[in-house]
Amino acid sequence: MRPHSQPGKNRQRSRYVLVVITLLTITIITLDARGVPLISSARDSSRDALAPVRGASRWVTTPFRNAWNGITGYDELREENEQLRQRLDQRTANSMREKNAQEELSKLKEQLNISFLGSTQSQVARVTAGASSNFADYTVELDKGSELGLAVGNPVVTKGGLVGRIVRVTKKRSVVQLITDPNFSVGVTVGPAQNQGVGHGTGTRRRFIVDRGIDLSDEVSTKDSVFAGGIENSIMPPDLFIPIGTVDKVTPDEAARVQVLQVNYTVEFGRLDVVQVIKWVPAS
Amino acid sequence: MNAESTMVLRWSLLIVIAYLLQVGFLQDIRPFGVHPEIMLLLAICGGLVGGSARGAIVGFCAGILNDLLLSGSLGVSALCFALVGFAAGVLEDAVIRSSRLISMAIATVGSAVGILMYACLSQLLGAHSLSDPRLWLIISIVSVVNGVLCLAALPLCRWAEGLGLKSQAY
Repeated sequence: MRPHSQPGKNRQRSRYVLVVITLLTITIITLDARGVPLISSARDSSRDALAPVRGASRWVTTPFRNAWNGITGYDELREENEQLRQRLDQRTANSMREKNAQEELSKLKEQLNISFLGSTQSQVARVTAGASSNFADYTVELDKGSELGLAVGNPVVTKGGLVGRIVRVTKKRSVVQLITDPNFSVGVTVGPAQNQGVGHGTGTRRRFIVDRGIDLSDEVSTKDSVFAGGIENSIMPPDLFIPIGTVDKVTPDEAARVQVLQVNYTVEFGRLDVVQVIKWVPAS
Repeated sequence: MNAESTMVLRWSLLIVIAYLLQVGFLQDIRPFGVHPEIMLLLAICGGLVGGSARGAIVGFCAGILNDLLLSGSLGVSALCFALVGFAAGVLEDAVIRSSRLISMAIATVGSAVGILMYACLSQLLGAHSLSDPRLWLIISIVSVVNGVLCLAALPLCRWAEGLGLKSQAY
């Protein structure tokens, strides 16, 4: 047992400490929820300060993490190994024309030449970290921040389409709310008839739901493309049509007099690496 | 430097090391898709070793650092960890004769309560943690892992508290 001294006095001190800490945390939670600048800037500064520390500690522990992944993902590794061998054979047959560095470059170039962006100003960024919580956390962190002109509200895209939007930005980092978040709602344009509706994430990496604005009489069919943007006063640029996915299923909802669309994403959220941040902020 | 400041330094060092371990390594060790929560474990061990006040203070500091990692509200982990650390200290005081098994049991139950409390508070603040279909899986894995890891964490916390690594205290 741990040594005790003056148990009565200790108990009183403990209660005092607990009350102070509880009040302090409740104050912090309240101030953070209200978006008080002092708390936000303190949080952002500490995030910036801790980012290199996190990076360094991840670098140091890379061999251990790799070893763990090797142990736990043995079957996957074997399968992946087989696929890689096949790919290697193909490459050898093609006289190994391209090197890895060239591939990396083309990957970046690919992101620079996103057709739907046109001449809109954008910034290439890299995903540095995924969800840190055990619970469903629909965010990713980018390695670029406000010093390169990124701001809260900026849409984030890949060649595949819409990834999400920036919800928090510090000098060197930004946090992106993914479109898969059930709290992420966005105005959409559907199909060649350009029907307008509102959709949201479902918490999975497969489905997006459009459940408002598409009337029963509107012409919608499976395989129709769904775009964010093209709508005034939206959280996405009105002059851009950013792909979200294609309609997989159309279900009429007679009670609400609308059609509910299940949409398959065109972006592969499991493989997010290089993204483009569109330097555009919504009006409000 | 007096004993009190040395102890504060040792605890700070331990919290920072635990944080680095969490972000650099444990974040990617995900049996069944769930990673261990050693910041919560530190709060519980702080309570077990140093009493309820120490548990609350260590829990608060570890929780604030943990909150900086997450995208949720700042202070939620701090509040939960502080309460759990405090409760661990109270429970340890109530035990007539401590043993490794009791410490492991307190760490297991404390971790479960901490995660559940975090889920409830986050849900109140707009997250979807309580309605997460993996909630019980997360609670089970974090509790079991923390129950086992507490055997390694307790000697380190005893060192931070100034009781020595080889102290007989559990």
